[in-house]
Amino acid sequence: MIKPLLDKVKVSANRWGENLEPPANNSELQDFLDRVWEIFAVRLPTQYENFLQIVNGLEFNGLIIYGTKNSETNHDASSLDLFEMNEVFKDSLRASNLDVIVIGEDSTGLLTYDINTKQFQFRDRIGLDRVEPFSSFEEMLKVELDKVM
Amino acid sequence: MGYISYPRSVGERLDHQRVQEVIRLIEGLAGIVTSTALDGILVLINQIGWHNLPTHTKKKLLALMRNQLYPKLDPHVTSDPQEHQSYRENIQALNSKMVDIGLSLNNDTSAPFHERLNATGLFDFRVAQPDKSKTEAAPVLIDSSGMVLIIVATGQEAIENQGLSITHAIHSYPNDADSIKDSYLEGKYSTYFVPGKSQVVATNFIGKYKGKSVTLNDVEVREITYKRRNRESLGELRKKFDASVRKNFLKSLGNDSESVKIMKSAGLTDVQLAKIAQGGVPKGYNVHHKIPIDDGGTNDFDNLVLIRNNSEHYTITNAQRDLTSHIPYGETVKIEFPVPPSFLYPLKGHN
Repeated sequence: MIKPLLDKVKVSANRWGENLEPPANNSELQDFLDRVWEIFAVRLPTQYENFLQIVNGLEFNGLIIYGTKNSETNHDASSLDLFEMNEVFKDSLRASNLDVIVIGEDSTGLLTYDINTKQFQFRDRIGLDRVEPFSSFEEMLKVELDKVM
Repeated sequence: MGYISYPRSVGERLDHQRVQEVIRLIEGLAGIVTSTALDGILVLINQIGWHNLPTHTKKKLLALMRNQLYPKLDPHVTSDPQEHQSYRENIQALNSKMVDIGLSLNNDTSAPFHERLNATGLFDFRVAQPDKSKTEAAPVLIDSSGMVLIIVATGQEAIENQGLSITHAIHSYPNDADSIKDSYLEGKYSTYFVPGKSQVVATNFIGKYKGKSVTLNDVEVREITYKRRNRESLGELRKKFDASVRKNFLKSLGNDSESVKIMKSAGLTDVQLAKIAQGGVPKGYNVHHKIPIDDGGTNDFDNLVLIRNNSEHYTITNAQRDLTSHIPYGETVKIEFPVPPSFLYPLKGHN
């Protein structure tokens, strides 16, 4: 269950004087899914959609999961926009022949969704080739939150 | 003399009491300095892992070396030629160690080398002015106590023979020839090797971000020999980093008044600083391994930097990836690698 995980995160974040992102609304979510289909020709698993309906992206203690847009206007803030961030990594992914969408990141790795195997993965940030697969988005979120809670 | 057990220096919290014991032992040995005792002191300093000591203990250790040990060193302590040679080498190693510790106490790498050392209050180095025709001479720093440092970048051609090296320096700096000659005779002369040509003066690095060229100011470009680590040991290092190292690194920054001052002037807010003091990663930043753990990089604090994500972290890791992704396992390749020199990057906010 994603909601209880995020409830815990919310408590910790509030303690540090931080707030979680608001949920993506229906039209933001639909536009996002359409654009993902248009660019990557894939439909992301519903668990990730559920996540976006609770928080539209997450930045917590070095863990970042991208959402549909940037909510921060401050130019020092991390980007939570999935499309913008995939532009950032595009050249590296292409050079490594990787057919993946970058979903997020932590201090030492990128979190990716493999378009062919339909699998969420952790990849080391520099090499990109050392892969730890997850059985679902929820498992990925749980493992990654365990690292930073 | 009784036995003493050294605290390990792998980034874990050092046992304060045992560090104090080691310092007391150095104090004792400084009183009876001989060629063998100096050798022992150097071993001790290496074994306590000085770079992981808290700042105030580091300062104490440096003051002890500079004020109590250094003035007692006399290269003529022995008449045995072989012992004499090894004693002189030890003096030079000790001088270099003092410089290492001194530099580590001032992380502002945008400041000139000698100013960083002088900021400790224990040195008063000035830069020797070369004869105009010798502009390629290695930089020389001179302290009023007679200590002379010749700064040579790793990888640059260094003159191995000390006599030749000092002759070269004397010719390049005719106005300081006497000071340089005396420092050699008194054993107060050292060649100080810096890792990479740019540690003396940090340079700019041009990287790519979203397909466009981006200039990162004050990034060192270090020449390193890259060899990819095997998967098991990489996993171990990563696990340790997530379990404790990242948190302890941030706590060490957030609870050190000098580091807090630097982070504040870089634009971190009070909310961000409070989080760092508790070992949390502030929003907008992440903790980056300067030399990746994918290569020979370690979890030591001096290999870590709190770096702004947007866009410095991405620009640097994109460049690091481009430089290394083609290297097959088992092969070593020499590459020029962009490395933020301090514990924080950037040191100044957006212009």
